[in-house]
Amino acid sequence: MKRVINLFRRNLNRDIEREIEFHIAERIDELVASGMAERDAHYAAMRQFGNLTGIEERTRDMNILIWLEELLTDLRISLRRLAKEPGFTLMALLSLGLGIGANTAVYTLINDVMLKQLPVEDPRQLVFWGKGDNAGVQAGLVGSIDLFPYDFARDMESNREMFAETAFSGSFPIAVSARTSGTAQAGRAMTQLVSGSYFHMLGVHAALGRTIDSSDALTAGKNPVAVLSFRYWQRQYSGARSVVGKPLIVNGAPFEIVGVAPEHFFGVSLDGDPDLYVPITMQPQVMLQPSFLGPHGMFWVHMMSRMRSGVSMAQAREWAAIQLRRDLVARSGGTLSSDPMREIQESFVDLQPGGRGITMLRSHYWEPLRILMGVTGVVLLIACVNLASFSLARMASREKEIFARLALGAGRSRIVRQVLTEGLLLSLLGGLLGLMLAIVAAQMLISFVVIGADRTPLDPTPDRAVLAFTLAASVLSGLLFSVIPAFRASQVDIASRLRVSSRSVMSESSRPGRMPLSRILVASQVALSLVLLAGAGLFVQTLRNLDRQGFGFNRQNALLVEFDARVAGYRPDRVRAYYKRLLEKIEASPGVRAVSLSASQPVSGGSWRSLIFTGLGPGVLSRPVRPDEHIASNINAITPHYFDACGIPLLAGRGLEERDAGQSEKVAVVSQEFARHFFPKGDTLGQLVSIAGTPGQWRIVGIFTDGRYNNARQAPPPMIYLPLWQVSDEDIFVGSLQLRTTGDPEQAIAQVRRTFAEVDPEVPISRADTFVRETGRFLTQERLISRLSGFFSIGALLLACIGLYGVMSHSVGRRSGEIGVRMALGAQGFEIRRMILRETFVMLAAGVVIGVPASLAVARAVQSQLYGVRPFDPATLAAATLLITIVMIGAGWLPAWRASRVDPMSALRDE
Amino acid sequence: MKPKNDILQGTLALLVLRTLYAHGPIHGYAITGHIHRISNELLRVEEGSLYPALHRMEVEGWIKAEWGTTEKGRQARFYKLTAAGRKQLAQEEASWNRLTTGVALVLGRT
Repeated sequence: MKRVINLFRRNLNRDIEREIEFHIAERIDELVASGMAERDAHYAAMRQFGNLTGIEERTRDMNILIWLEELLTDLRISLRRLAKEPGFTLMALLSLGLGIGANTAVYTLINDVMLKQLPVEDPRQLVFWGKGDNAGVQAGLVGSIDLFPYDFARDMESNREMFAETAFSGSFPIAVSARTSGTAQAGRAMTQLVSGSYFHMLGVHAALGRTIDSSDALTAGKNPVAVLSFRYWQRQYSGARSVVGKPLIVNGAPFEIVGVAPEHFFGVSLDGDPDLYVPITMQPQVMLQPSFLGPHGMFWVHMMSRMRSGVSMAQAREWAAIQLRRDLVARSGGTLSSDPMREIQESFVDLQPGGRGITMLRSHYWEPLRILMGVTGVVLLIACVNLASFSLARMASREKEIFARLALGAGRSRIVRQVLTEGLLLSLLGGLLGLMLAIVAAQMLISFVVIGADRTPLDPTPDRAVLAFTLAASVLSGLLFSVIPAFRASQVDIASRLRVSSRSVMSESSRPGRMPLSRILVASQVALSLVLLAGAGLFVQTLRNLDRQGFGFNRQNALLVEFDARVAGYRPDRVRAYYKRLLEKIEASPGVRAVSLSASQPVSGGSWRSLIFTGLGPGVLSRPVRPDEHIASNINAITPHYFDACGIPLLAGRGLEERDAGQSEKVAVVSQEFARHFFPKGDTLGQLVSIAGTPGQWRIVGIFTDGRYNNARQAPPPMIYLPLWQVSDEDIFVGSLQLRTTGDPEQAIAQVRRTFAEVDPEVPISRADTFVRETGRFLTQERLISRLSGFFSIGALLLACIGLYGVMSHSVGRRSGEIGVRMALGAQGFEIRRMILRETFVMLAAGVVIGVPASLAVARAVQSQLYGVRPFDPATLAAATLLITIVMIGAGWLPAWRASRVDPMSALRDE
Repeated sequence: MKPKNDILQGTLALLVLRTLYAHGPIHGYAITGHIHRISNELLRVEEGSLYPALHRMEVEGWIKAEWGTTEKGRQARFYKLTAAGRKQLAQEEASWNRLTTGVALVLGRT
């Protein structure tokens, strides 16, 4: 308590002074009494006492709380000094704000995607069965499995051998039409199918009413209940508490609303944010598709478990693999030959810590985000170096003041502290500015990353981790740029300062054998900028290479429309007629060259994937399986003009025709990669294949070129196309319509919408866009890296420019006397310019010498993100070096020119 | 100017405490004079060390200070020992005795 009172005792300093005064007075008395003259006694007493200020300071330093009082003084001094130099302050705040803001924005995304835990109970105990990179419905899987059949998941749910609890959910959200009974307007709602154990296992309790529990998911089709998401409840029902117990019409069937999920809950996937949670046993009603709930059904659910304490991940993995293999063997009916059997025995579940939820973004964006973090980190570093050189220059002009303070007895540590305080004050203010910028920037980054998604759980507002990061970045950069000036301040040498006269031709720079600190800083900025520029050059080329290589279809003049007839309540028996009417109508529209339907969107490659059996029938391969090989292929069901509409060229055989329908022989066409993969001998045409999940066999009649899907870097996967008019009812629903136009496809969008409305106004178009824009999504990550690294490298170059300009201007200003003398002695303007420019050259050269090997090292580290360009690319490096040279010489020219205009008379008079 | 330590580091507190124990409330100047006198002018307390030390001991709660008036009518801070200070003095005395005995023994054997 006493210490706290001390802090506010303004008269503490006064006390100490008075006490010391008293002491000296007593001493003088004594000396006078012993016969010394009063004046001499005074000096003797003072001498004996020693450094008055020093003792006062040390006496006060005994009290830790004085430290705070001094801090306030330092802050006052700092604020006054910063206010006096608004130019410097503004530049410092802006560059720090931008630097820290960029870092915080990237970190926000990293935190959202990589680090944040789900808002569920004890998220660290959760494990996911697999990485969750796959979503969809697949007929069969082997290898590393992350989609599971319903019956297997049910078995595991009731099996408590290894895990405390296991739950599962549909691997993708389903769009349904949802209508509150009594209202006419149906809206689209994203629905998540969940097991009865789902909410209990996650430890999530209803905000209102109840969640779905195990009694809701016992029998298929018997529990039409729904839990609303908090947001959907707020939006559709304005948060009315009476909503519990009300009916909700989902796809035309009545459901009962039983509760509302808590506010921040969004399920376990970061890729979606469902409106409704419905028991998984209602799958046929929600999907309007045949049941996936029967024994030996499709692979389509995600599984997650809560670990028991003391059980290791390795144990759990082993256990899960054993369960899975046993199930896969049972599923095959035990009739497999040795090769597929071996594949089953090598299948496993890559259990993952599940606390962060699952997202496809994590594997896609891990590298890009790391690179961006590096880029923004370097930019902040350059900004700090800039501020360090400016602070050094300011320090030089403060030398007299510091000299005076030291001479008056101030401790060096106090001066160092004042300089550090000023630096930290600046960087914390800059950090605050950066935080505000970061929220906007993070929002932009998130919408870039989740392209097209209506909603995302990714959140741009900073949480505690982000705030801590920003604070750490601010403090670190503050220390970084003020440590050197602070050190310099403490080195101010009183003795030499007294000796050196103010006029000297020997300038700092002409001292032999040593490069002054400020120039080393500029050289390091040049090096760092070169690294960023060269890196950005590589990424820009990567993007261009990927974009140019083509995707296997003609992207010009083509339109993609996504729709789902199931939303309007179509059943397989009626939907074929609807599709035919739609195609006829659109074909008849003006400007249409070809139109087709396909089960999955051509640019995504689709999620329909199944095992392929060639030769005699299921389970028999015509050749041995290589251990690293998958015997699965992507599948698409299409109408005959698909290849014309997408612009995919035919290589051999024929395309699909109108006659490939109904009861005629089942035919299929395949991609080049499919032919190469399954028929390496080149005898593809005429072969019969079986596809797990489809009845009968398909005869291959044509081969088309490969397409690239989703990821422009990946080699094209095998692809088999089936005629839509020949697939069974289960597979009849399509998701996409393709249109090739004679003119601008944008113009056709409105026409297509009208036609859809004419044929059946109940079927909504969920998306319509050109092929060019759709394929643009392939390259999101590359575009993100190349744009941002380009942007930041230009920013870094600018900062380096300002740095060089500042250092050179300062140097010219300091040396105006010297320059005046030189000119008075007959030096010409161009000689002075050359002298000043030479210094710029030295810094530039030093920077390039360090920057080139550094660029190569960095390029090698990011090699995996490059495409079609090698990490050592002399042209890129040369271009970056040239650019930096031109810009730097430009920045160095102005001070040099100004130096050559120094008027020798006035320069000498000024001294 | 570097402070010269005529008095062994750490013994200043002991000397000051002992002085305050012997003489009620006295001021800083009197403390230096007393130590100088009582040690037969062997020991001299540096002013530069005395006041920081006094301040520290005050913060520690060993001594208390009050403004008062000297015989000559000057304002001065008078220090006196607290209960905690007496305890501290006993401790420091004991450890000083241990040290000197130990040092004497070592010196006696060489």
